Amino acid sequence: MVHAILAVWAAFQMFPLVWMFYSSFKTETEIRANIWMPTLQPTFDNFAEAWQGAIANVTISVYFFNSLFVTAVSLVLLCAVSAMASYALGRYRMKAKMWIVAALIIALSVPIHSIIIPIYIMFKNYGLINSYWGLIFPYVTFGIPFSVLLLTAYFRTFPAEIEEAAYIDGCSEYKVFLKIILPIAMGPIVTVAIINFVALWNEFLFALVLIRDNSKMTLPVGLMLFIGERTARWAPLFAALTISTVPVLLFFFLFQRQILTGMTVGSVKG
Amino acid sequence: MKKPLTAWLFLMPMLLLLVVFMAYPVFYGVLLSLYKWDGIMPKVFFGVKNFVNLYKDPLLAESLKNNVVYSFWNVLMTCGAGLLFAILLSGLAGGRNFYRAVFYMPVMTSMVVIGILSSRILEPNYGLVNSMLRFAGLDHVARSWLGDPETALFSIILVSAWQFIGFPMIIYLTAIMSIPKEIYESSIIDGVRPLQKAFYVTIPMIKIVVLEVVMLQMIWSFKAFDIIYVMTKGGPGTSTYVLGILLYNNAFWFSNLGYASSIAVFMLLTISLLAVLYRRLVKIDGTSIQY
Repeated sequence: MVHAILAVWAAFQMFPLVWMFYSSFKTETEIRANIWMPTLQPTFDNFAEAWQGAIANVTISVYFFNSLFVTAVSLVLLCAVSAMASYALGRYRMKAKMWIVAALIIALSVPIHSIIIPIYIMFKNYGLINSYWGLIFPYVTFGIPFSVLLLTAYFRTFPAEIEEAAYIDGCSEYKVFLKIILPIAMGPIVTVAIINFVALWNEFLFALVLIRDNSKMTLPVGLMLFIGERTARWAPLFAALTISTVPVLLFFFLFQRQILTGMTVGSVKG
Repeated sequence: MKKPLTAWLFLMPMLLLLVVFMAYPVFYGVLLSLYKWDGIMPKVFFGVKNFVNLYKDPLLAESLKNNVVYSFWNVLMTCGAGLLFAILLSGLAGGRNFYRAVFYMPVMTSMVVIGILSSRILEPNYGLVNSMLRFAGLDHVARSWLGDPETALFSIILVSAWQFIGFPMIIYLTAIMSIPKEIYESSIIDGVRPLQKAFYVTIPMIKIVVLEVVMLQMIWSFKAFDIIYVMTKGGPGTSTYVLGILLYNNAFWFSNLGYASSIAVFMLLTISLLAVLYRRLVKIDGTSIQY
C-alpha cells in the first residue's frame, strides 16, 4: 500500500521530465500526431537545431557556454572569498565577530527584488550591463551569507593543534592558511560550491534584467528567447530544455549526498 | 602569530562585496522610493507620494491577493504532501534513497524549464492535459488553462507545488530519521497503530522543523516571480499578477523607477517581518537554509 502510493507519486514526479527527454528525439510531425508516445526512430536533428540555432546568437550552445563560464567563475570566487572570511570568523579572536555574523544572518533574508533596480542603475552607469562580471558580482554576493555561515561553523570545530604546530615551525599566517588550512578544508569548501551550483545555474531574475545582448545571455533567459523565436514548433524546444536540464540532473546524481545534507544543515538541529 | 589585522584582511573581500552589491543597493533603493524618476530625466523629489499611490493602486490589491492565494495553497500543498511522503518514506525498509532522489529531481530543475514545459503540458490544442481529457471524453472540461483568468493562477500554483514538494519532504524526512529510536520502541510496546504513531509521536517530535519549513515556503512564495513570468507574465489581464511582476513591469517596462522602488521597499519590509517571525519561532545556531 505504502509502496503503491509512493510509486504512483514517483511516476507523477518523473513523467514530465521523462516526457521532455524522449520527446526531444521525435520529429515535429510525430509530436503533432501523438503527443504522448516515444518514437521508434529517434532523431538527433532537434539537438542539432537547438545547439546551432537558425538565427545568429539564438543558439543553445552560446547560452550553455555563457552559463558555464558565469557559474564556474562565480563559484571559484565565492569559495575563495567565503573560505578566507570564514577562517577569520572561525579561528581569530575579534570583537566585531558577533556583529559580522549578525549582519550575515540579516543578509540571508535580503530579497533580490529589493536591490534589482539599484543594481540595474549602478551597472548601467558603470557599463556592467551585458557583461559577465555584471552577473558574477551579484551572484558571489548573494552566495556569501549562507556559504560563510556554513564554513564558519566548520572552522570553529577545526583542531587548533594543526595551526599551532605550523606556527611553531615559523610559518606566516598567510602560508598557514594557503598551505595547511585550505587543503584540509577542501571537503567542506567543495560542498559549498556544489550547493551553490544549482542556484547559480538556474538563476533568472538578475540575468533577465542585467543581460540584454543575445550573445551574453545565460541558459534560463536564452531559453525564453529561443522559444519566442519558435512559438509554433515543439521539437527543437524539447531538445533545448533537455540540454539545459541534463547537466543539473547529472550533477545532482553525482553529488546527491552533499546537496541533500547541505540543504538540511541547521534545520534539523532546530 | 595571529594578528587581528590579518583577520580583517581575510574578511575584506567579503565585506567589500556585501557593502557594494548588497548594503549600498538596499540603501539606494530606499532613497529612490522617495523620488519620481524615469531613468533619463532628472529625479523629482516625491516624498511618500509613491507609497500613497501604491496604496491606492488597484494592481497592488490584486497582486497582494494573488500572493496570498499562491502562498496559502503552495505552503499547504508542498508542506502537507511533503510531510505525508516523509512519514511514508521513514517507515520504508528499502528504496528510501531512490524515492528521495526522484522527489527531489524537480527541485533541482530550473523554474524556467519547468515553466516552459508546463505551458506545453497545459497547452489547449495539443497539450498533455487536454489531450488526456478529450481521450476520456471530457471535452467540456478541456480549456486553455493558462489563457483563462479563472484557471491561470491555480494552474501555476499546482505546477510550482508539484515542483517543490521534494524540499519539505527532504527536510522532514531527515528530521524524522533523527528522532531517537527509543521513543518509537516504547510506542511499539504500547501497541500504537501507524496512524496514531504519526499523529502522536512523529509530528509532535518534529513540530518545530515543520513550522520552520512552512515559514521558509511562505517567504519563497512571497518572492514568486520566475515561474509566473515564464508561464503567464501576470496575465491573462492581471489575473496572475504578484508583487514581483508588478515591480518588474513598473521598473523595466514602464520605467517608473521610483514607484517600482516603493514596491521593492514594501517587499523588503514584509519579507523582513516574515524573517523576524521565523527566527522568533525557530532557534537558529548560525547556520540555516538558504532562501
